[in-house]
Amino acid sequence: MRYAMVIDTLKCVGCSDCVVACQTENNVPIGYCRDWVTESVSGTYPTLELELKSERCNHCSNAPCVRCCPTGASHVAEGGIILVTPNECIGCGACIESCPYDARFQHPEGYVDKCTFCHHRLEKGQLPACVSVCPTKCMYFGDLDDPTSKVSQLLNSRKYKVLAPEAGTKPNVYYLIK
Amino acid sequence: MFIEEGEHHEFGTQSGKIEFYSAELEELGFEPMPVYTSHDHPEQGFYRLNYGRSPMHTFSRTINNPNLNDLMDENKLWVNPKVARIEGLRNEQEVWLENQDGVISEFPIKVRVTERIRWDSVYMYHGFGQHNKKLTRAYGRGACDTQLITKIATDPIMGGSAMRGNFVKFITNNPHKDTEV
Repeated sequence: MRYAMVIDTLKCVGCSDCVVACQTENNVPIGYCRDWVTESVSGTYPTLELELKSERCNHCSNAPCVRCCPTGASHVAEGGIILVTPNECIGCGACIESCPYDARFQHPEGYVDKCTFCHHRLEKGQLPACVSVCPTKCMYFGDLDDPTSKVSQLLNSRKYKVLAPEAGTKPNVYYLIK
Repeated sequence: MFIEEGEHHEFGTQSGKIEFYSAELEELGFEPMPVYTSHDHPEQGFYRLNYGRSPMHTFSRTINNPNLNDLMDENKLWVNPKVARIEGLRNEQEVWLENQDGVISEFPIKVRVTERIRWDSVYMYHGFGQHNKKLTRAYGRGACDTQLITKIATDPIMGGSAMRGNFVKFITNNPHKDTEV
């Protein structure tokens, strides 16, 4: 099993519902976030291209944060999800520095926090909170090892990209761009 | 309105159909076909004030909500890079706005230089620039578009109103400096 998230940049309107859903579901303190929306504009008026992306931890198959963790708090869980065990984390911040996506932050209680793909919801057969609330349904979640899953089908039929491929982290969050 | 395939439907017009040429309007003394009339244009140094919604807020009701305020706590004034160069504006610079009727915005707004706006217009999100101090997170953050909308155009036939016919110019020095307590 390899969990992946596929996000359709053509459908995203940048409302940040995913951000609030995550903060509420995971009790993320206000002022912090595990996911966020970026806007990039290219071209000059009136020939413009706008891309909106909901970003988060990429749950990389080659995760530098897991490799650099001195205590093993950062680890790979079932389905390739990268998790942090709070009571094993000493808050050294090496993982925060190693992440090319800036997806990790230090929780006010000291440990390092980030997106978990809502693994506690997956165990109950539910989708991650961000995916479940998206009003334009631009986010998909599933198993890339299953060729019949929606995420596999989308990646087979659409043009996509990943963030910072040059970092060699093999990220598992994909962005549909056409 | 949804008309099923094959369903018979009559509209409330003389012909019972959608009328591109309306004899009824002609009888009432209006043009039977829409005729283009040019809208007002801004004077030199003024820009059309356009407004719209931010995707995370609902009108002005949610500005003080802790989660949504965290996502967006103030509006910005979208200015095309060419206009910014002409007017000498920088990104994040605070400006006040004065409209064609001499109304000056109560609070300053930060400039956002972006290609997403045309040369003859500026744009801001609606709902910001709250003046109620009990809205502790929202008070005084950003500028209020409705304060600057003092002219409302009305369609002579169907009465629809248009509020994007107001023009503003930039003020870079605090115009309320002497009146502030």
